[in-house]
Parts: sequence; C-alpha cells; structure tokens
Amino acid sequence: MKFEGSREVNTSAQAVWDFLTNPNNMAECLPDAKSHEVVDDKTIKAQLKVGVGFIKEVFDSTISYSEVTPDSKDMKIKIDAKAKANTATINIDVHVDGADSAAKLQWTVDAVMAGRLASIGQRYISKVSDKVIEQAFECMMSKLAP
Amino acid sequence: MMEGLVKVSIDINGKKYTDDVEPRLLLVDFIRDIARLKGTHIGCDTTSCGACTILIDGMSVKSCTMFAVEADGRKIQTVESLATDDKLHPLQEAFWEHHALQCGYCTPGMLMSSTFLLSRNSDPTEEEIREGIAGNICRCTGYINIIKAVKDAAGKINAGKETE
Amino acid sequence: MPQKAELVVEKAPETTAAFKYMGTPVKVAEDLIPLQGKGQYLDDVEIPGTLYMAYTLSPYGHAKIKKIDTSKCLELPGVHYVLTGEELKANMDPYMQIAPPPSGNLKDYPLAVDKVRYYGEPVAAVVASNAYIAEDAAELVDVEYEPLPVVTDAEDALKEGSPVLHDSVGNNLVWRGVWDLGDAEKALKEADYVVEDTVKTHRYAAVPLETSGVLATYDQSVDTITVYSVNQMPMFSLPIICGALRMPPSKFRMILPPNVGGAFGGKIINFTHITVVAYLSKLLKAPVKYVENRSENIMSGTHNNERIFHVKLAVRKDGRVTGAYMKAVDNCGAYPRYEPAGAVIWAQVVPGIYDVQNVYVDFSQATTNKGPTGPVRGYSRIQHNFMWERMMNRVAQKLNMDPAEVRRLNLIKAEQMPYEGPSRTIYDGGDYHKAFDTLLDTIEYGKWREKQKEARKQGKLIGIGLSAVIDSGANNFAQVKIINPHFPASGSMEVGLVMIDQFGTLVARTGTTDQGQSHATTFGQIVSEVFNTGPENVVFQQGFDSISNVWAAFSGAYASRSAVMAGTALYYAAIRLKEKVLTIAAHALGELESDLEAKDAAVVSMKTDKKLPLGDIATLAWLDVNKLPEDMEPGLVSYAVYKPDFTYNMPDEKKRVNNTLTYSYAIHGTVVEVDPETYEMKILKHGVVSDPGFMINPLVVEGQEMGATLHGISAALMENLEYDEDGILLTSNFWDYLVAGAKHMPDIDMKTIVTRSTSSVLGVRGVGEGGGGPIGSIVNAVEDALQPLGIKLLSSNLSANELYSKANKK
Repeated sequence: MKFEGSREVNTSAQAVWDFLTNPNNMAECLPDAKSHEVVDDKTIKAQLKVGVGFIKEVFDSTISYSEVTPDSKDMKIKIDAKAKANTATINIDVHVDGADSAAKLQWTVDAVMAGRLASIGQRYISKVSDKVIEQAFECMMSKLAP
Repeated sequence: MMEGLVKVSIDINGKKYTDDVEPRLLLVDFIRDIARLKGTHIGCDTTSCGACTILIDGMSVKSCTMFAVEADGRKIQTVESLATDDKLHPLQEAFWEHHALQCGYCTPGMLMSSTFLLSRNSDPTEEEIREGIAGNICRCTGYINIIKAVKDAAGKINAGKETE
Repeated sequence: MPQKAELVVEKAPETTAAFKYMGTPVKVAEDLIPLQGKGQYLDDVEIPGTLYMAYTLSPYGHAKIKKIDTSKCLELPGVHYVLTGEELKANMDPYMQIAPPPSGNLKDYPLAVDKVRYYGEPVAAVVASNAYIAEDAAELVDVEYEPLPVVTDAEDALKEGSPVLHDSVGNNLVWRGVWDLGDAEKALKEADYVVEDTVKTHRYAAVPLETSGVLATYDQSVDTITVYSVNQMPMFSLPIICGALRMPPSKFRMILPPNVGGAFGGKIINFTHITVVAYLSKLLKAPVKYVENRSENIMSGTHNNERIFHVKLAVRKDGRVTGAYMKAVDNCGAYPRYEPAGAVIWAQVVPGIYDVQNVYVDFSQATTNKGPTGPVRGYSRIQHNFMWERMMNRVAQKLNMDPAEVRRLNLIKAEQMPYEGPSRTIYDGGDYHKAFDTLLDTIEYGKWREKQKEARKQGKLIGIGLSAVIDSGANNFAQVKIINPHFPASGSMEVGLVMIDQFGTLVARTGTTDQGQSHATTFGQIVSEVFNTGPENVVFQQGFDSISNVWAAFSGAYASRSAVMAGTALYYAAIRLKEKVLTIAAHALGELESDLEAKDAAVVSMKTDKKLPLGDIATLAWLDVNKLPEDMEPGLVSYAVYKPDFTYNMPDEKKRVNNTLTYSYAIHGTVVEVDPETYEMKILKHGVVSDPGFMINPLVVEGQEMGATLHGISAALMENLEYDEDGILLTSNFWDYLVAGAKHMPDIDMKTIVTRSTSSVLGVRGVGEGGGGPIGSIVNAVEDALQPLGIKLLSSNLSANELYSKANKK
C-alpha cells in the first residue's frame, strides 16, 4: 500500500530539517504512544497504540533513520511494528525543500501490513495510516511554527 | 473462590445453575460447558450465524455476544425447553413436517429465533419471517422449507388458540 | 459371514408403483434429534481431562520463518505444550502426494516448516488446559518472519521468474495434461465461426455451519489412538494420516459422532488437524481437542478451485457447436491436499450437457500463495459447466440467436441415451430436451422476453439467464491414474450390512457418514422395501466407528455417492438376508420357500396364511440353533460389498475413462433486475428442473437440490475469497465473507422429471452437488440485463460494486 502527502510551513527548510533529524523531537510527536525511548540518534523504540475500527492493538515499534542526506534534505524513516498476530513494515521517504519562510515537507509512504488487522481492516488501513502520519507531521509543524 | 472469578447464577429452562466463572466466559460456553446443555451451538466467532440463539427473559439473543456474568440472575430458554413431556412444540412439529433441517446444526438457533418472532407477531408474513430469521445462517436447506414451517406453525398455534 | 457363493440380483422394478416404502416422501425420523437439541456433534463429545489446542497462524502470504520463540507462551499458566513444524518434521513423514515427481516431491506437513505459504497457515500448535488459555497462548508464540515475494494468480505462478512456493519442486506446476478427443483442430478449421473468449471462476469455500474439529485420545492399554473427527471419507483419509505418522491404520480408531453439521466437501482435507491432534494426544498421553474457529475454517478449511479458461468454440452457421479447444489453468493454492484430483475431475463433464465430440483441453494446475483447495460441492465440474454456459451465450450473441435456441440445438437427445461422450463418460439416460422445455415453461421464458423489451424502453435493466448442467455422482477412482498411473486406487465400492437382532429388529449399517443427507431414513426405506415391513422395524444407527462399523477403504459421504453406492450395497445385503430368513421359515413351518413372503416384520405363507414373526426366526437363528436346518450357519447377518462396473473402468492412453457411475442433470433459469443507479441485483424468478433418477425419498432429494441451489446463488452473488497483492485474505470471517441468508434466497420454482438411471441398480442418480447450475444462469441473466450498457462479464462472482465501476468507466 503506497500513499503520499505534503505540508507547507512558514519557517525555513533548515529548521524543519533540523527538527526532523533529531529523534528526541520526533519521539515527542508520535501519536498515541504509550511509551517511547530514544535509543540513539537514529533509533527510537516505542509502544504505539493503533486502532482500526474497533480493533485496537499496541505495537512494539522500532523507528529508525537511514540515508540521512543533509545536502538534498532527504531521509528515510523505517518503522518496524509488531503486535500479537499482526506486523507492519512502513517505509517513509521524506524530503524537505522550499524558500526561507515557506518550507515544504513531502513524504511518500510504502506500508506492508500482515495479520488480522490487515485482513479485517484493509479497507480502512490507508485512512488510518494516513491519519497517524499526518498527526505526527502536524505535531511537528505546530512545534516549529507555533 | 479463586481470584478473579465471579459467582454467577442463571436460570436455564427453569433450573438454576450457579458457578464461579471468569468474567470473560461467554454465555454460550456457560450454557454448553457448565449447564451442559449441548443443543445451543457455536458456528462463528463474529455473532453472525445465529447457531447460539437463545431467549433471555423472552428476548432472542446470540449467546456468544454476551458474557455469562451479564446473564447473572436472568431467565434463559434454550432449545431443550421447547418440547414438553415428549410433546413437540408446534414449531418443531412444523420443522419436521416440512423437512426444514438437514444437518440440524443451525436448527436450535432457528427455532429460538422463530419462537421469539411468533411471540411478537403471531401471524407473520413471509417477508416478516425472512426478517425474523435474517440473523440465522443455514447452509443446508436454502431456507424455503424453514419459512414454510414457521408460517405453518404460526397458523397451527393460532388455530389452537381459537378453539380454546 | 453367511452368504451364498453367487448372488443374482435383478435390477429393481421399473416403476415406482411397484414399491411400497421406496419412492415415498417419508418424514425424516432422525430430524427429531437435532430438533430437540439432542444431537451429538463433535464439539459435544466430552472426555474428562481433555486439553485444548489452538494454532498460531501465519500473518503473511509468503514468508521465511527465521525463528520461533515459545518461551513467553510456555510461561502462561495452564499451557502444557507448544508444537512446531520442526518437531513434526522430525517425527513424521510428509503426506503422500497424488501427483508424480517433480511436483510429487513437494513436502507437506500440517504445520509450516521453514516457511509459510499462505495467510492463516498454522505455524505452531499450543495445548492448554482450556480453550481460552490455548487461544491466548497461541498469540504469545513469537515468530520472526522474513517476508517473501507473493504470487496469487495461477497464470502468473507458471511464468518464468515467478516466486516459487516449494523449492523441492522447483516451479509451481502441480500437473499438466492434454486431452485430445475427437478432432477439435479440424472442427475449428471447418467451422463457419470461431467463438472465442476467456472465462473465470472465482474462489469461494464450503463453509458448513459446523466447522471441522478433532478430539483424540491415546489408550495405552491397547496402544491405540482414538480419533473423533468429522472427516467425510474417514477410511480413505486414514492411510494418509497413518502413512505420515508411521503407524498401522489398525492402531488408529476413527469415530464420527452421530451428527455432523454439514460438509459440502469441506471436511476432507481436514486430515491435517487429525494428524496434529492425534500426535499430541499420544505425546501428552491425554485427550486433546481442537475445533476450528470460523476464521480458520474460512482461511484454510478447503477453498474451491479458481480456474481460468481461454476457449475457442467451432460453430456452424445454424448454431451447432462442433468442437471446443481450450487452455485451462487451475489455482490450487499453497498445498495440493486432494489436488491435483481437481485437474481430472472436471473431465466427468467434458462436453457439458451438449453433444460435442471434438474437444481439446490443455489443463494445468499451479500452486499459489492462497489457501489450499479441494472438494467443494460440485468439485471441479462447476467450473467446467460454468465455462460451457458462458460460451453458449457467446455463441448466441455471435449468431444473434436466442440463447435458449442455441442450447436446445446442442443438447444431447433422448434417443442418443445412454450417451457416450468424447472421453467415454456414459451419460446414464434422461430427457434433456424435456427438462429444458419444462424449465422454459416454469420460468415463463417467452413472457419474460416480452417484459424485458418493455422494461428496456423504460430504462429498466431486466435480464434472463439459462444454465444447463451435468451433476455427476459416484466416482471411479481410476480417473486419478490419469495423473499418476501408480496411484493405488481404482473403481469404487461400498459395504452394506443388514442383520436381525435377537428380538427380530432389522439393523442396517454402512460405511457412508451422514452430514445431513438423511441416510438413516433413506437406507431404512431400502431395507423396509426388501422385507416389506414398516420403517419402525428398522434401526439404522448414525455415526461411524472403524472398529464396529462395516467399511470399505472408500467409505464415506462424498462425490454424491451414498444413495447409489451404499443404497445398492444395503439392497444386496437385505436380499441376501431375506433369502436366509425365508429358508429358516420354510424349515420351521414345513413349507416351500417359494410359497413364503416377508411381510410386516414376519414371514407369511401365501398358501396357508401361516405366519412366523421375525422375532421367532431370530430366536431360531441366534439361540435355539439346534432347530435350524442342518448345516446352516447360525445367526442373521448379511454383508454385501457393491463394486459397480463403470464399463470403461480404467483410463486409456487418451485419458478416456467413465469417471462416474451416474450423471444427473439440472436446468436453471433466472430472471434478474439490476438497479440502474446502484447496480444492486435482485432475483425476480428462479426455476430449476432436475432429473435425479428414481428418488428413494423425494423429500430428501428435493432438500438436497434446494441446498445446492442456495450454494450456487450464494457463490454467484455473495461468497468471495478475496486476497490482496500481498496474499492477505480480506474476507476471513462472516462479516466480510458473506453467505446467503433467508433474505437473500429468492423463492425457487423447483420441479423434477424422473427417468431412471441406466447404470445404477436402483435407478437412482447421485445428486446434491448441483453442478453449480445457478451460477451460470445468474451471471448470464445479469449480463443480459446489462446488455443495453454493453457490459461484458468475466467472472462467476458478481458484486454491485464491480458492476457500478464497469458501468461508470465507460
């Protein structure tokens, strides 16, 4: 399942980039996190609660950064999430560009869900994932440009 | 009492069954495993098939959608209550007459849903019967004979009332 | 066993008028049991101290198993054991494969070994003190997977470079065979028209209301595993299980409880559950029970074969079809557990119901990352029948003819009966034209064509569809030799036992297992007929037990065989027993056997009116045995094994064989209305005319036909096992996998016309599978309704959603 999105924010691209690449900032913006722990500058471990319809599961998740390229402001975020009878692997490509006070954040997401949630909730999953990722970026925006 | 267990007492077919159960015990499992009444069946895990349909205080309920603790102190009727003194209930008679069952697995639930339907509507139309058993899946008969049987039973029950 | 050396049994009389007990709609006595909640189904069987098993299931369509960590699971109080595929592999052999190598090299175990190949595949089996704990514990088994590329389409699976499911096979081909019958190429060359199209049948499942289940217990005192199961062919499944577990079948006692909650083919490949539960019960020296939950039943409890056909028909100007040339690709799912039998079983109906002698079929079957397939009501013939019925409509469209006319022109004629098809199937009588015309009258075909014209003027979408199908029954196992000449089975047989107990009650037993087909009443009628005595004097006990029941290795209720096979065996056994009863009575009464007849639980003399009750004869035979005629073996037990002659018993080099003993047929007609805005489909009328041959109990036969009609309607309009591109099943419970309820079932106008079967002893035909008749008539009707929009349909499953998007794409 693939989807993409973008947001504009009235701050500099560099500020967005700096915020994004610091896992401590990102950890604060994980939606519905029951707990989180910043392991190193590229890794966060968290328990994320995700609900699809009336099925709710807590996923043990590892969020890791890779291919962080400051020159082009490109990075990859990978989320490996595991719960009872469900797993999810989400790869997000993030790119930041734009003018000084009009940064643009773009993301493309490739999510692979397996297990009961995927079977029962397939029709809702893209909506849910979309919402979760929007929430994360929304939180980030509000912290950057309050 | 073991920790976490809840004392539950349920009247099933006029007999009281009391036991200490886990709060998550489904009512259908109480009926089958504690009261040991095996006529109530399990056909799915999504409350879709109706094989476990019973009456609670006269209302039809799928007994897999309820916990046993929720039925504490209430009166339940299962398929075993329908025939009295070896005399079949008119619905059972009509199901037999019309060969309204094959494997018989859905039958107890069908009978309880039909009992409830007739308790609310003594002379249902074919459409109303279809509506009344819409929550009960039968994979064998194709429903037609069941619908005929319910209609027939309703007629017989009403005729019986008139002659009284 | 007391029986005469040679037995001459005449075929049963030609007319039903000659019968007193057979041929009448006797009310089904065994219905009274479930009606009062007194039935005993598998989950009702209780043994003290039973442990419960639950599976950990694969969340992936295809993935490598990197590690299984059971530690958390074992910590949960109440958990006794966790079994993985690794342990099973060390202690059992993979199941026998029907196909020869290379696909015969496939290693199939009941729990995944090294990798998972379909969504919902069992990976571990957890045993706990109750079912709740077992379910909880199964989720605590921590499996580390590495997802692999997925292939769900059979044609893709056969392409170079496709992900391969079974490394030991090397590719995904299960079996390929070519039938070159008559001369199809010549027919195409000489045809006025070649009508070409692609037809697809979708995947759905048997879903009996009672899921599969097993209760096994190991008895140390006799070193025997006793298994309660719901397997439809217990004695055929037994060697498969025992071969894998390396133990003799005689150390394995197979029991079926008196009631089985439906099967429809879906309770055959459940031998995997039996293997696991039996293994665990012996290992843990405790009774172990497992009952599939509905999701498990939908995910892996037998899917039907998805098939794609690329067809060319040779057609004459007048509408006569002279040949058929096709490539068919069958989707087997992840494991061939009864497959590739489906790759030959369609050949029971090579020309469908039509007189076509030139047929070329190139048939392949492939493994894919979907649930395993196997017999589902109408197994493998539904697909082929559907293909014919879609193509007949294409012929009508091409020639601008009425689809009814095209069919009538091509139907096999009554005077051609018995009809030998191009693959040497022998259609055993019938009057297809009479049935067809009766159907047209039943649904008021002409009137609806007029109404349709009017409706179209008003923008309404009304369509009429027809479908004529063969529903073959009582299989000849030799057809499997087409796949593998070394397959150790051919023909068929069934056993009947009839005895009279000490008090004079007739007792009948056979090896077929009832799943709702009213065997006790039907078989009771046969014994009643022979002894000319009421059914109250006959006891037929339901259920099965391999150590006390009679059985043949083919015993079971599948392939529409029970009435034909077991009915005949019981008929023979009853006649044998009656001969002995008459001999004893003649001796006791001092009369000639030829003056005596059996009547009303006694033997009476037609000459002197003297009467000897069966109870008195039983006393002589079982107790007062010195009064028996000299040299007579005491006892009143008779046993008969019926092995039919299929005429063409073994396949020849052209794959020709008579695959089944009987071929019933049914004509379906549907009128639908499609909502022009929502594309919801509503059946306005559905008619069926079928010929089941002589009906031992019309009430039962009509019930079976009605059930088959429901399954067809449900399959065409609702049931669909839908997988996404990652191999995740999106319809794995009754919320998403919809089956027809009372509100979806239209009124059915059902008629039977009866011609006796020319092949079966009693004149009966196997019925109840239905040949998928309604699927063709519904799809044809919907396409006909949508004709003003120019929408062509491909698949055997329709949804308003799909029609809407088709209509709005234009």
